Amino acid sequence: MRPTGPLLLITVLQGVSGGLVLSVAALWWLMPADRWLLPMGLWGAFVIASVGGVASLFHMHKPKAGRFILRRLKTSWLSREALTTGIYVPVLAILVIVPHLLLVAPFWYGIGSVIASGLALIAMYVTAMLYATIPAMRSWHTPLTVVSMMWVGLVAGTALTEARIAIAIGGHPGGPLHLALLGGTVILAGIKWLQYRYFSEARQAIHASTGTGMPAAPYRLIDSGTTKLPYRTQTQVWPSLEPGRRAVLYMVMGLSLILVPFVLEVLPMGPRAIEWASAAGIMVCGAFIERWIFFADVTHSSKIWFGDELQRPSSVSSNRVSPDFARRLKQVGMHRHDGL
Amino acid sequence: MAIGNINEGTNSPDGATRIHTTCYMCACRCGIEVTVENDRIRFISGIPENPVNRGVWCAKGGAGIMTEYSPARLTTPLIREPGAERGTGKLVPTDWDTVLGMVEGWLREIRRTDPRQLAYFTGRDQMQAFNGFWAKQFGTPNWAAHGGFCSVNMAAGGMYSVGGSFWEFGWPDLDHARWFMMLGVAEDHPSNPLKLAIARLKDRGGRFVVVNPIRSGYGALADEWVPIRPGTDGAFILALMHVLYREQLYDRDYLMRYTNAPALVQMAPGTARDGMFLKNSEGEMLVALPSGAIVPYMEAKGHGVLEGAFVHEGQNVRPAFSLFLERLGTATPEWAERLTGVPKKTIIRLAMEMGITAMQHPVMLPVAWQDMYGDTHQETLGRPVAFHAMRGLAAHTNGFQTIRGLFDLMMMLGTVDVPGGFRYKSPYPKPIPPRVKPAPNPTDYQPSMAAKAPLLGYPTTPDDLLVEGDRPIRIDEAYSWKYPLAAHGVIQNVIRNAYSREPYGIDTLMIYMANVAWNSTWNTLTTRDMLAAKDEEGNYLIPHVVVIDAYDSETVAFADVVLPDTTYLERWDAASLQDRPISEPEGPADSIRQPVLAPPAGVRPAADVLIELATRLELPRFVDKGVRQFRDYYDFIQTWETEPGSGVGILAGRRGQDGTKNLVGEPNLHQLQTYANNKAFWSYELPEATKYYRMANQKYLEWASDAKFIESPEPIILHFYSEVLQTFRLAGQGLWPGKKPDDFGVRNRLATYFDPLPLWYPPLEEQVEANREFPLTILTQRPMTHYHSWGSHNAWLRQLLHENPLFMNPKMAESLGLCDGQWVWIESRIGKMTATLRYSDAVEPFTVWTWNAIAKGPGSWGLDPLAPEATRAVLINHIIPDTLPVGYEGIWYNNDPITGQAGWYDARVKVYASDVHEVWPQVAARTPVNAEALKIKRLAYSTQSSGGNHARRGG
Amino acid sequence: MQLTIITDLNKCVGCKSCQVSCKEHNTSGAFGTVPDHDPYTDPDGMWWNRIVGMESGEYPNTNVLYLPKACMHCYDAPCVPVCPTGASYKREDNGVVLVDYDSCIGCQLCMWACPYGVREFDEQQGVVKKCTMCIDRIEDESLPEIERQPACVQSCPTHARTFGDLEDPDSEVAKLVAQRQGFTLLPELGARPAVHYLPRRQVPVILDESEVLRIMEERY
Ligand SMILES: Nc1nc2c(c(=O)[nH]1)N[C@H]1C(S)=C(S)[C@@H](COP(=O)(O)OP(=O)(O)OC[C@H]3O[C@@H](n4cnc5c(=O)[nH]c(N)nc54)[C@H](O)[C@@H]3O)O[C@H]1N2
Ligand SMILES: Nc1nc2c(c(=O)[nH]1)N[C@H]1C(S)=C(S)[C@@H](COP(=O)(O)OP(=O)(O)OC[C@H]3O[C@@H](n4cnc5c(=O)[nH]c(N)nc54)[C@H](O)[C@@H]3O)O[C@H]1N2
Ligand code: SF4
Ligand code: SF4
Ligand code: SF4
Ligand code: SF4
Ligand code: SF4
Ligand SMILES: [Mo]
Repeated sequence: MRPTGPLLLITVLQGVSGGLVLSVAALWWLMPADRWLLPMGLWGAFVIASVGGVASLFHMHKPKAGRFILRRLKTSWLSREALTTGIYVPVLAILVIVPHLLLVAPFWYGIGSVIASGLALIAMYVTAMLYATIPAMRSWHTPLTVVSMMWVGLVAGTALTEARIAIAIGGHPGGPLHLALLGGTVILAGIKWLQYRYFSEARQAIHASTGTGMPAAPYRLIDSGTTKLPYRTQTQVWPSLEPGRRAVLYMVMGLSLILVPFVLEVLPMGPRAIEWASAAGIMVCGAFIERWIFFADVTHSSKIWFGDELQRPSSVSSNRVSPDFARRLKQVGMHRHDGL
Repeated sequence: MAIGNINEGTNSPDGATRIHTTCYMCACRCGIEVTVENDRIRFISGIPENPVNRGVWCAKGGAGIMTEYSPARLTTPLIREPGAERGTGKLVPTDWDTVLGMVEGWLREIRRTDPRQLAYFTGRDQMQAFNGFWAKQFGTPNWAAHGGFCSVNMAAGGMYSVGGSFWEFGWPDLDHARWFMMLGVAEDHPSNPLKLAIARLKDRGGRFVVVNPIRSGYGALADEWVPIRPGTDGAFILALMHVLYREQLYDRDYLMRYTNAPALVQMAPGTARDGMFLKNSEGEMLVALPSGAIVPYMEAKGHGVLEGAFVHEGQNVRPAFSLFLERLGTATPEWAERLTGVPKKTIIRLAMEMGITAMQHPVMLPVAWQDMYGDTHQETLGRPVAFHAMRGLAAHTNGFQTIRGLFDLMMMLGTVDVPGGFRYKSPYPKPIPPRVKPAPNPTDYQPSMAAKAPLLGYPTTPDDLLVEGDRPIRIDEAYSWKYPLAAHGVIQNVIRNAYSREPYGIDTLMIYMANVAWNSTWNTLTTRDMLAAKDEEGNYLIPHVVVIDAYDSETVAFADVVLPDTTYLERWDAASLQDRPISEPEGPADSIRQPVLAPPAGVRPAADVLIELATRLELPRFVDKGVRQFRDYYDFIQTWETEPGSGVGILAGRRGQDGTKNLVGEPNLHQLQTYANNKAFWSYELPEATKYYRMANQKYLEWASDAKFIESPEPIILHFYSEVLQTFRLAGQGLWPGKKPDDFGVRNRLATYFDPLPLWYPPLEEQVEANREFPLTILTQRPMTHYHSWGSHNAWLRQLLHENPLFMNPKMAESLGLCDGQWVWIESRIGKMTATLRYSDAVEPFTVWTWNAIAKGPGSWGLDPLAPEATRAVLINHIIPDTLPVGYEGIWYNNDPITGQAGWYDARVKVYASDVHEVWPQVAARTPVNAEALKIKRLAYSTQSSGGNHARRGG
Repeated sequence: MQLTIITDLNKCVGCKSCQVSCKEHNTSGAFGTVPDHDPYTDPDGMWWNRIVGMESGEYPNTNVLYLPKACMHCYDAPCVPVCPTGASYKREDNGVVLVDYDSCIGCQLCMWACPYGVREFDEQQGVVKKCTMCIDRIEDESLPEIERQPACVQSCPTHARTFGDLEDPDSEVAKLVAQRQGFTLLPELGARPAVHYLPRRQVPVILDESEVLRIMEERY
């Protein structure tokens, strides 16, 4: 599928914002020493989420009809996303602005952080469900999608929080959140590995037999013009990634989302603040790459009918030259591989 | 030059107008209803009542909208920019007075001195009756339409066997057939009628067998695909007949009653009588009765024996069928397997299937009819085995004989013009061959005079050839010793002959509706060079090239003068019985075109322009005693008659002053309007008793003679054995008393190939020694969505197909070490080119193929020079040999030695990996006539004033 | 009532008439336009009905198949519930799935949700378009009878396509589906398409194989 800017921004930034809120909220309740982070965290989350939210408006190609977007809350995860993200961001705004206007007791701050965290989780879940509940998107149609999408947000948001601490203390943050982050990154590696496998399986999983009523024997598209690239009107079947390009992209994602941040956060190499800051930065970039791949590498069920779809060779057929064929080749003076 | 009035049409409630006309997006000529809304075409759909398409229409037909609005349209007369070279496309707009004046000047001079100096050739032309008449009145022998590079083998093979053929001349009766074999037909021929018919066959559960090296299109629906090696169908057919005879599964009665198979042939080697029928003093063929008595054919009433040897007045004679059996003796399935690649078992089974179906499961229609012997048949017996064939047989240099074989096979099965078999379309059957002949003497083509006879026809003996000694009279060498039965002319010979001034040079080459600088030419780069070649003084070897076209084709770039034609939706026109009729087996039919939209101001219908030129030149019958006879083509269609007062004209329906006469009647000055008001066509259904066995159906023959389809109600006895061919063989052997050639080469050809009985020989290219290195045959197929080069300027059609790989069987590819998607060289005897390889299991391993005419020269057709048609599509015509490397005198084209049919599908190639990863060869980009089109970024066509804009221009 | 189109794959020759007649009608129709990009350079455009061609099996046992693919007007159309604005809807009275361009925001979620890849995006107008079952023809009472059927059905030169009400057991379409083992595409995705296809059916050889072998051995 063609990844679009607005979708990258909304899904990644909403997640990061959520991760940020959750991590600062957790610190508020677990590490009183780090309570100072909360207002700042909420601010950050608000700004990040707003950028995502505004960007998402650009995904609407006809904003005029935007007023109808909540019409199908009963069935549409997109309606629900509009609602949940639509509640989450204003609530953040309130939490950010109110303390500037009135004095708020720390307790209420804590409660606010819990509410924000809850809303963030709901919004993240709803957004992820939007993707996970589409059977036609073979690679997404799994709970892994929800787990992965939320996890990326949580880990990247937490990394930002930890980076902020590192900058403040000019060193290694330490503490339970630190461990959680490292653990979370390892788990993320596992999730992405599973998801990678799921994507590959999805690529193979649509069958000629059910897609055409033909036996599953080797089949070949006789592509004419309108079942071939570039599908400008068929955004869901954007050209498949070439295998080489896919490998490179996954590698870059693995490095930026997981390995490099992890290494920077674990191994002492230089001034911790820079390392932590760059780890968080790289991870957020990694999240964007992850999301880009998530869109670009998805297999839509209709790919089976389009010209650049992977051709599955038969497991039983062979093009070995039969004795009869070899005889006929000889008759006309041809031999195998004689470079005619 | 009025174009008549634009018809008002019928208004529908939504304010749109519906106008009936005939499609021209291909040669099928379906009836279409064009809905016009806000002066734009809203919809094109099929006319349900039309006998051709019965309400359906194809992708091309519907996309006619985009053809009308094509940016490649020529909108004004053009002349070559002074100083610019031919082929560069540098043309400048001018006005009609200027171009008509120029062309008139050239033609006047030619006509005054030597009318042969005008060569007028027309391509996918649907007004051949008019064009042929025009050229005849001009007085040049050098006119023909596209048949030479198209399917003259098919047409002539049928005409010389049964007085009809496939396509416009006859047709498989799939309403009654139980078993249908289609040989060498691609995806779309003829488009809608065959699709409708196949669907009916399928509905009825008939069995469908396709014989073709490639499986696609219609072939996809076949119950059985018989992959055959190209050029070997003749052997396949003979082997089928071998089995039919051995298993006694053939229709003796039919052969004896309706064909000349029992006719006695004289065995007199070394004399002029050899191989000729034994005849009585009245010129009647004689046959032997079982009693041994020898009587005239008609007298035997179908009892003449098929086998035996007799002596008549000291002359050894044998029934023609007996002679054929000698040939069949060696044509065993095993022999055919070696040549065709079709297993012996399959050949035997197929023969038995068709034989059993024909002989043991006949259809009987409760229709009584009377035959030429005066016998009345209470029922009509049909053999429900039908065949259809086209260029897969025709476009080989052994095609004529292969097609003769196919028709003889049909005779053996008793399935010519019977229910469930092959059925004629009116005005066929004609006498075998039809009784029209071109005038054979040089003196028949005199300055300032009309030619003595129609320019094309059917020679019956060597004496009918257009030769002076060994020298051809026509520039294309049609009806010469090299191509004696060139019934459609030999358009593909013209450019090289004019260039090499063999048999003579010409002054003006006029091309109408043929893209001879590209897809209808072979050895294309050389041919293009020849079109633009100059002598030492710097004068073009072909001094003047006039192109009449509607679009900016590759050929337009080679014109000195371009006369822009209307589109098919802007002119009056007719699909005539005088031409290639739209008749169905049920009876004669014809149709008209009428203007749906007004043409651009600078454009005039080609026929109107030709009439204007003819009038200025005062050609006979165009100007009579100083009086202009035809105002325009509208007028011509209504008032022209084959001979003044004959009552037979372009349109057969609604004749007579009040429009009440059919087929024969005085001209009707409201004829076109009446057609226009009646869904644009006319058809007449034959009474049931005259629908079958028409060559021998007494009532039909009488009716056909009244209708002037035939001269007299004489029976038409089918030519199982072709005495006509034998006369040419005798000429080759030096035994014919009349005209005979001196040249050893042609004599040898005549003696070898003019066999009166079908035979198989390897296509001429396969006989070329150098071709041993080139083991594969390269073919093209027509895609359903494109009509030759006409589709690529159509915004919708070109999306359906705009590049073409080379399809190869993966087994072959692997054995050559090639893989899917890779760039390869395709090399033939005359050159090489690149393409990308695509695996396909739907092609026989020794064949490679690609789509026909998708590639375009950069800068032509209103397309971006970087359009996929120019950068990713390939034209295999570049490497198809146009001439044979034989050592005889002069140029020998890669044509069928009998008819001159171009041997497109004989080209042999080898395929190997290429380091060049782009289309090669490429011709230089030319200047397009209209570069505006490239700026159109988005096309959102609509006729709704509120809807999207037409051709919205953007960034 | 559930309107549908049945395509007989035993008759479809892949001619693309239905593909073009669809565009021809609809580009000027009530749900038009059906636009094209770069029409005279490297073209790419919108089609609501695309014919897919494919071959299967190994030479010489190769099969070639053509599959016209437009909206399946699914019973459980996944494109409908995902639509946030209700622009995509399935009509209760006849089961036709339509898009209301006025309320469509162009989010393209329905395009992802449709398993068949038959929805197309018009970037310029910002809406998703697709086959409408030619609703503007079949409901236009001013049209002659023959035109009150989808354009693609009317034009099909092999009459491979049949239009009608799947839920009326007496209808042609219902009978074809029942008698000819009509099947749907990608049933495993659960959209329950209304559009069905009829499979190939081979007409057998009238001779049995052993008979041919016997004759061949005896005489050839
Ligand atoms: N859509 C469309 N329709 C057309 C045309 C068009 O350009 N486009 N052109 C029209 C014209 S001018 C013509 S002449 C007709 C031609 O109509 P066809 O004859 O159907 O067209 P070709 O493309 O020449 O197809 C020849 C077929 O013969 C097969 N073939 C080649 N060699 C052999 C052989 O040796 N044996 C057998 N058995 N098969 C062989 C090829 O694989 C191919 O399938 O079509 C007409 N109809
Ligand atoms: N390799 C290969 N080559 C082949 C064949 C093949 O099978 N393989 N097939 C051969 C056959 S059978 C044929 S018939 C030929 C066909 O070849 P051509 O007869 O050259 O046919 P087209 O390519 O259709 O070109 C016809 C010309 O007519 C013009 N035209 C279209 N409409 C109009 C109009 O209304 N008025 C005028 N005045 N002009 C118009 C077009 O612009 C175009 O320039 O190709 C032959 N070439
Ligand atoms: S088959 Fe030919 S004449 Fe008929 S609608 Fe199609 S393009 Fe037109
Ligand atoms: S119009 Fe008919 S035959 Fe042609 S592709 Fe469509 S369904 Fe198949
Ligand atoms: S693109 Fe339009 S129709 Fe599709 S889901 Fe979005 S709003 Fe609904
Ligand atoms: S085919 Fe696709 S667009 Fe049509 S109803 Fe089913 S899911 Fe919706
Ligand atoms: S029903 Fe109408 S809109 Fe749908 S594919 Fe057919 S022609 Fe197109
Ligand atoms: Mo042709």
